Amino acid sequence: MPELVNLSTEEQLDLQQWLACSDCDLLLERKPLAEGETASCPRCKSNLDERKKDSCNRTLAVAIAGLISVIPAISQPLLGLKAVGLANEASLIQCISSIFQSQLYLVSVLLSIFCIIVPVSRLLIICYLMILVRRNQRSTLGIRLYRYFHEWEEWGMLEVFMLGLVVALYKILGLADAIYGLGLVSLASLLISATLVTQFLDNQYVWERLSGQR
Amino acid sequence: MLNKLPEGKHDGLCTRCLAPVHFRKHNSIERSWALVIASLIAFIPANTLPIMTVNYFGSGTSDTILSGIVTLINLGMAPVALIIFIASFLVPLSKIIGLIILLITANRHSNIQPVQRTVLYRMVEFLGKWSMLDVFVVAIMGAVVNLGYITSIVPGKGAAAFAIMVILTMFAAHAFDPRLIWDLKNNE
Repeated sequence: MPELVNLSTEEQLDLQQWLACSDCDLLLERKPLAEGETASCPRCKSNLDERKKDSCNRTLAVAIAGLISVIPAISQPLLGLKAVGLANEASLIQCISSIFQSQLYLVSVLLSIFCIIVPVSRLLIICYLMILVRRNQRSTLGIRLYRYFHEWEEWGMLEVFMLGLVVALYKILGLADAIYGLGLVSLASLLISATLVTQFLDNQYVWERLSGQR
Repeated sequence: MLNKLPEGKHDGLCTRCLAPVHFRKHNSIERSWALVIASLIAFIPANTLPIMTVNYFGSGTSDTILSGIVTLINLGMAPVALIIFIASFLVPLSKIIGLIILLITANRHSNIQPVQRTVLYRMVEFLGKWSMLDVFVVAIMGAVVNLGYITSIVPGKGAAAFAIMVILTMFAAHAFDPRLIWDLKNNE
């Protein structure tokens, strides 16, 4: 069973002078970075560390913007089609329920996890964490949440869903007239916010703040 | 973040975030192989079962992924057909092939192009979720195209098999330990 290793403060300080490349495990000496600087691994060129400008405020701002767009993005119609006097529109929730009614239960569960649960919880987590960092609070819960934030990253698939919407739109235009819903705009804004969060977020800084090392 | 493990131990918990840490992922090659083989098996129903059925005035035609691409080309939608072909066929297949290459070379402690193999690994990881595209398209089309008797689209079982295959390849890429690439023969 894995167990927690207790280190003396001296040992921890010693370890903090080193940095291991997360991709190829090359051990490197850590150099302090100025705002706006980047460090990359000399062997495999993977990105090691970056000090971003005004990271905390910018991240919090876009994360809140994303959360505001969530409700219309989920509940408002995304796309629709019009033919021979009939029209039909569908929102993200309706996509999930319609695939559930087609008895593809697994797909409907996956769709809700990948397109709603993961992206929304990641935004909520990052809002909470940025507030903690701004208040300069150490937090074990925050550290755990931040770990989940990273581990869930590849399971948030909003950008893939967006491309899916573009493909679907193109297909619908081949059949009939398309209707563009409010959900489409909201989803785009949610997606842009989520992308900007990863752009503005300063990883190393947040870790060090949450664990009280800075 | 660096951690120090006690003498002779290979696993522990990170002192900062309490995530399990280890020098190497356990049984990385075996677990990755198992998941790759499972995804290859899922690849078969994903491509042979219908992914959706288009009903038009009471008569329905079912399409698999590949026959759907042919239908799109016939309808003059070549760009969309290309996107679907790349995202639903080429990408999953090259992901599986890429993982097999990585697994074979890592098992042999091959000296060939470790940097390029690391790039290959990153591409496999990055491409992961984009293969879900077709599943999402089917879900959207099923919900939007629903005009009762006139025309409707019903998602098929192929979509479920396809989703399973994509997730298995994502888990397989996860199980693979990229540090194995750097276990070169002359590096002992």
